[in-house]
Amino acid sequence: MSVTQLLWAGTVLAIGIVLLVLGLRRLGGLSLRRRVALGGLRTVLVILAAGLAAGPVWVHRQVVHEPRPVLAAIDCSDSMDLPDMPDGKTRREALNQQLLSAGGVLDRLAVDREVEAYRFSDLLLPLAARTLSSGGSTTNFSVALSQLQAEAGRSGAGAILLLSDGVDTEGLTAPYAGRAARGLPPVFAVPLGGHVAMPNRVLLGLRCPRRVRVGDQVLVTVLASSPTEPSKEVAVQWQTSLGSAGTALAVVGADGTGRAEFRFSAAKPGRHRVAVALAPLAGEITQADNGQVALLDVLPAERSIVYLDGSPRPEMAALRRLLGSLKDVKVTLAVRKTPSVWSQELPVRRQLGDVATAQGFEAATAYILGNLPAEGLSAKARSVVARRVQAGEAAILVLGGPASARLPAEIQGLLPCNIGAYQSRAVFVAPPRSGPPLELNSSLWQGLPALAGANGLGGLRLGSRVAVTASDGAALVVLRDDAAMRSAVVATDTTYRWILSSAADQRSQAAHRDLWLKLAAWLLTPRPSRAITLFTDRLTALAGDPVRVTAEVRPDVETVSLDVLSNGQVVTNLTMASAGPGCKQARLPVLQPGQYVLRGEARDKGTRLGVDQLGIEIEATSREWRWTRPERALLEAVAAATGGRVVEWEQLESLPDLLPSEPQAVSKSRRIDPARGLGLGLLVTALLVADWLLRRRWGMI
Amino acid sequence: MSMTQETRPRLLAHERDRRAASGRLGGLRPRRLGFVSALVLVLASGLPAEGQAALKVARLKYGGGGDWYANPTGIPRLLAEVRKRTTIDVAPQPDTVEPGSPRLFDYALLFATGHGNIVFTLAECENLRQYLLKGGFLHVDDNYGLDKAFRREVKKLFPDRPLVELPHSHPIYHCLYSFPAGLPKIHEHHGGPPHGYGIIHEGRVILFYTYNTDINDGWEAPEVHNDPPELLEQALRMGVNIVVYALTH
Repeated sequence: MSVTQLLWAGTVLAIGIVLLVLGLRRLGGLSLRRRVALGGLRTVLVILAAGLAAGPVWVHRQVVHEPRPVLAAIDCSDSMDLPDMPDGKTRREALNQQLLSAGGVLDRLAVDREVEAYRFSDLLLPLAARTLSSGGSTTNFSVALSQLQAEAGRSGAGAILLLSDGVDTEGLTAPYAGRAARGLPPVFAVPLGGHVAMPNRVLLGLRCPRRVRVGDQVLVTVLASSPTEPSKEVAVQWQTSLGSAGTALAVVGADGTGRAEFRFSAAKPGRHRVAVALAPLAGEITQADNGQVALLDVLPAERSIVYLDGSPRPEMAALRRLLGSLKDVKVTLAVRKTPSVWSQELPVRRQLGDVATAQGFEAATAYILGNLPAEGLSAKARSVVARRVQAGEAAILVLGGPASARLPAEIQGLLPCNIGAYQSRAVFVAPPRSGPPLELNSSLWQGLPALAGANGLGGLRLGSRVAVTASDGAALVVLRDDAAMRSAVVATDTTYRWILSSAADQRSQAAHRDLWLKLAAWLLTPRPSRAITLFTDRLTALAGDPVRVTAEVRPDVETVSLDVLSNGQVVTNLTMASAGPGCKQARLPVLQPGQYVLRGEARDKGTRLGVDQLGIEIEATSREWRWTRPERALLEAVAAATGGRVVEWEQLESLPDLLPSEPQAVSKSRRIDPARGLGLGLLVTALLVADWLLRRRWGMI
Repeated sequence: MSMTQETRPRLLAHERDRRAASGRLGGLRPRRLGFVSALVLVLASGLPAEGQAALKVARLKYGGGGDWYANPTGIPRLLAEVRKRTTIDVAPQPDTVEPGSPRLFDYALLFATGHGNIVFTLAECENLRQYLLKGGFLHVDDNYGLDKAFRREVKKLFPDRPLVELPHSHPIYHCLYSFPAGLPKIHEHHGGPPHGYGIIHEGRVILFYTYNTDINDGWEAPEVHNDPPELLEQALRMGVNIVVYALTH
């Protein structure tokens, strides 16, 4: 009894006593016997009214011996409509017929014990009717098991009957389902489905290398599943943005899976898409899982650096040693040792008439030019470098030095800025700002030895950014990422002083490596020719499916906006969020079934850098139908974790015999709430009527 | 007889070197001392003055009593030839630096020569070792009489790295001028061929020791030793090779 109820009862009692006293004073003309009769009647009335206000409850407990209750949890999700039960029935029809119908398994179970039936998909709810109606588009075992824990605790259930295909659309795996089931009474799991193989082709896996070199043969392996086609060949259609396409065949084995391979030539560098799809199968309930897409980066055939220096100098020696430590990079060094002689450092020194004849000159991934005056490069060499850098086939880096201010005009035009006169002076370097594209480790850059000189830099060109500055703010390292072109200027030729330093610690040496290795990596990594490449990992998605769109972008891309178009009209517009260097992502909202075009637009400070688009189809079918085969492993894990077992559908009739049936002492309680019943109200009414009748008889009314 | 004739001019030359080295500052007039002091201060800062050539080399002023200042005109003349024959913008005059000085690291290339004793203290050994391992280069030329002391000291300098004779195919003999037979022989002291030894670190010669060649004498002005011009040319070419190798490896 609550405090509120006690207060109500007290109030009613007090009012009743006051009325009683007032009423008794009006009975002065009656005999004592009549006064006692009416007073007693009214006292009982007051006590009853106060009792009603207090809301008394009586609990009747008794101990009986019977089997403990059973909870039946029945999967009612959309996958129950799959017709893969014996005789071609749907799972729902089979459940309705054998489990829920009058005289069915549940009725027989209820003969000697309590049975509580529930249905579940994304939630566990009591089964209100004797038929299993259409359920939900998802199955969430975590929620169902958690709610079963609560219901089992409340009812004291001795066993749980779990009827499901075991497919969790939220991604719960068998081990985790086992953990979630711990603490439940023994679960007797009945796997549903799989009696008749469903026509369903699934592209289980697509293995494609992420990076290859130009000219490489790319081997792609596809793992497909088609349970209804053992020993048959499944056509795997593939297409690449390199222009190649074809069909490969996967022979389906006894386990319902098959493997196919195909090859194509990585003909040109850049970023490309590889799309693979299984041909649709007649009667297939969904084709949403028939295709996948992979991205492929085709790198130049061989990464090589041609390093031309106008004179032997310590910076060149230090840089040569560092570049020599790069793996898989061929470094060709040519030094202008005398005004008229270019020497290429091979195992045997080779005099070059024209530096353009240096080994690998026309195939270099990057050119480094150090302290070269205009007359240091032949017209042919200048032309080759300018053409290849402008076309994005190679990158260029120019080192500082007295002669660097007199570079030929063709080379100057490629650079991120103008190179001014060289000044021999102490230059202290400020710790650089960490971030793309170099991601320098600024913690190494504190208190570095002074550089001994630098060229003045100025007149930054479009697409340029300053990566390192002197402590006085003067630019020291400037990079340019403009269209396909990459170029850089390092204004000094004395970073070797960070290596040749008297400092006892190795920090300045580490800073030197930090700068040059990252610069070399930036130079050697070909800039994707496309500013943006959109992709989703699937060609088709189901309505309501979480579809993530990824845009791989060039470093100069600042923002990407994504338009979702249907029939040429923009359905929605999204701003893609950064998901790491060179990667932006967005999640599509829930779309109505239909065909859509995703169009991503890459921008840098308002300038449009590029557009990419791809098509995606949204299917109306349920996610429940993506995977038609029952997931026995999950049901087995749940049964094993609770001490139960898996009961096959064929054993369903004998289920009452399989469940624990020993009578156990079960405590049952019955709650009696007189305030809610009619009896007390009728008694109060009868007393009031008796009071009225007595007063009338005694002439008081 | 031949030994006496050869030794006498050499001793005279030593005396001339010593006087020249000791009298270089003493001979200046007082009004120029201010300018010289300023220049010395700039050089001592380890950084070149504005407009000055970026690359400087130094003569190693070692301890032990040996004549570290020997052949005073040799290195300047070599540097002049380097400037004339190559694209290397090197300061015309070498600085002087002690092996224990932190200024050692301001020079990409060091020269040492002499006829007598050479001693590195432990601190000097550590400093010089760090300099060489971090990218510096030292050329030591036995000007006759240095060999025993230098070999002793080089073991202190690099106890775990032997001084190995470089094959005639080594780039130091070919990086600009080709010396298929190795070092040229400038003066005869011990008889036999000249030898070039090196301490090698990560594939690079960091210390080059020339023995029984007297190449430093060949760098000096023609009138000092009156050597034939062809021999002087060979010495200078090999010297240029040493500088080019040090600055390209």
